[in-house]
Amino acid sequence: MSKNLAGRIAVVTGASRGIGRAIALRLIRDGAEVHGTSTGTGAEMPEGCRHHLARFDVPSSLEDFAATVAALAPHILVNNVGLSEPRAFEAIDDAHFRRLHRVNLLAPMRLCKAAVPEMKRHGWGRIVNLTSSWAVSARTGRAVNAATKEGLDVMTASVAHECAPYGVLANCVAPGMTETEGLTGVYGAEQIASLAQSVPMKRLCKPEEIAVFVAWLVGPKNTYITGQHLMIDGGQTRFC
Amino acid sequence: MVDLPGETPLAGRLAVVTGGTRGIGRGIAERFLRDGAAVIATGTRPDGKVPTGARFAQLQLESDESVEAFCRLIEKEAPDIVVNSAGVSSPQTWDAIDVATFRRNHQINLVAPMLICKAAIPGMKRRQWGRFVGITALSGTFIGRKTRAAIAAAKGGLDALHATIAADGAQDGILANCVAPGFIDTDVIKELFKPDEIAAIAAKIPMKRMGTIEEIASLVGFLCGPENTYITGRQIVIDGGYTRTL
Amino acid sequence: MAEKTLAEKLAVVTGGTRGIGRAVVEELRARGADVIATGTKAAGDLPAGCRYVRLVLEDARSVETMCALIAREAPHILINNAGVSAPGAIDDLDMDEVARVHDINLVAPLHLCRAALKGMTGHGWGRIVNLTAVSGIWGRKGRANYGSSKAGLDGMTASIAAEYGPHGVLANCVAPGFIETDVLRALYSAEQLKALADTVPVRRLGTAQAVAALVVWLAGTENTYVTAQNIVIDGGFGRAR
Repeated sequence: MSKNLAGRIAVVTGASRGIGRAIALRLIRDGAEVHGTSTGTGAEMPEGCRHHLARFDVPSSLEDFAATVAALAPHILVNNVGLSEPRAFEAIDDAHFRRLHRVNLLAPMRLCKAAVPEMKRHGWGRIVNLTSSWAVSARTGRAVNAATKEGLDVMTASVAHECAPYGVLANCVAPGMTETEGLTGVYGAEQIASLAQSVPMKRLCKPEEIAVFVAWLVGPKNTYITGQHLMIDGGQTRFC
Repeated sequence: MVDLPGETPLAGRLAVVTGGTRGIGRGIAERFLRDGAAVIATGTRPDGKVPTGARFAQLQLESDESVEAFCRLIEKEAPDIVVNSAGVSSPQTWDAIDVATFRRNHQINLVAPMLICKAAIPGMKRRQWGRFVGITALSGTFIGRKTRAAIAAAKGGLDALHATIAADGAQDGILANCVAPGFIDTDVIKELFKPDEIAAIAAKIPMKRMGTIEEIASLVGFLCGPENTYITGRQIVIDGGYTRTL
Repeated sequence: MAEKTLAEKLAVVTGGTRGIGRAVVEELRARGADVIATGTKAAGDLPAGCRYVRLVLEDARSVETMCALIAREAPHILINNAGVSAPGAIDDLDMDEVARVHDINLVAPLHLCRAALKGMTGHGWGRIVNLTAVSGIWGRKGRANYGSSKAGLDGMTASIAAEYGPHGVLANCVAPGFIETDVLRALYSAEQLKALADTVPVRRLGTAQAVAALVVWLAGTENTYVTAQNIVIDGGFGRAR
């Protein structure tokens, strides 16, 4: 296995579980020095991943971690943390909206701001922001998700435009329904089986399948894809 | 970039690449060979030069007989990977568009690739593993370009065709995607544009340069390789950010 | 003389005193709608027969007052037109400025939509049109803040469309390109405007009236099936290259 990220510093938010954990593990395997965040003590982090405590719904914690990111000067930034809390539109109150907006959109924007100056100085940088299939198809009860994830996509494309001349590539990856604790915590086995039936491939995505693609995008083999919103969804969003 | 020895993710696979004698198709064939695949690459002339190690097959996409013969070869060889890269652009203004040119363009860019995909599907189903990639074009995505009616319509169709294969093949281990290259540094583009025109094009691209053949081949290699197991039915644009930005 | 297809309909338009918003107000009036239009000043100049309401979108209390008014008046049509643009490179974004822009372009429309949807559901008929921008679809240098707020508005609107479709509510966005308004004339010199127009396939800037015609069609009785869309009106700028 080639260590094609040897010498690279990577920051992955939300690295203790689910897709973020799989990405951190994959980047570690590819040789990167990986710094991951969680809201816990760090005991739950994957092996070899350096731990940083960060709560992106708390402004001071976000600012603290943004300072850490600026100091780390990572070559790779993966904004993976996101909240998905379906709610009827009329039940969305200001506090609910602002919390999700802060975590899903403002935090990634703040961390891009922190990471971009050094990436430009390196003349090399890779940003991947995780959205979700909700960013491309409207659903009942998903207004805040759609708003924040679609916002994240266009924010990323703007960063891509701005930073392209400096060798910094920025893309979004939109996982389809993925087998994570987040999903298995919300749905029962029967519901998950019926969700899987709605995917042309008749199964959910595995976190590792997202991780390999993210690793490819942030690795040395991707040198010309930027500003894109890339779905990895077993064909789901393309079909009705 | 040289991969470490032993990295042959496509060892044991047979790949077919149309238009493998030059440009992007040739780059993809080279990439597959390096990744350990056996490769059948096509060219229009009887004596086409394909990369060392690849098997040459003559294929003229505008000829029904030639496409039919090639499809029989595909049925026999049952490739694991099919990349429809050969294509033609026939720019015409709307007052000049003629049906014969438009039809010929469709035959080459859409009808022949459809037949080639169809010929490859039974073998992939038997093995429960297959990868299709169609090489499209920016004008076949959501971008309109002057004089590109024929190629835009055909490449848009090629994308839809791959999405349909993706839907049909999803449960048989068959993944189908398209790759839409932006302005790529090929002989064709150097024939089409003068150096100052190429500089003007590059200036419009966020990355301020054209893409390279190797960059396209790298993405196609990933999509056809063992690491891609869940991306299907998509068209991935690789254009240095050109069409996604203003 | 335009047909009075919107007689008996009440419309609320934010930012209705100038530019695109003003043109929307005029078109709605021409179609016979009653119009409540907002501006940021204490008093605002509006076409005859319109009601003026002061609304400052970055002021939560002002938005709350407006929501109460909307809940009371139960408009059939809501046009979220008011917004703010704030170019800035990603490296030196001021996060307070980001919060302000998102409050105005995204959070305030969210609250106004929520307030209006109750009445629309009661009528069994409603139209929401939210104004976005081409930089809310395509990435643009210096538009990370503004573009993400407008893209967010589109995502929210599509979700409203999904949720309120069964109640007769259609919700869409309109994304204008370069439109010849006072705002644009303040930002660019005549020469720059000419250069800008040359980058547009139709070789001219758009007019506020053209945008208004689209907005009012989407908000009107003739539109009965277009919903959850973000319709670009830009003379081909974004897509024709």
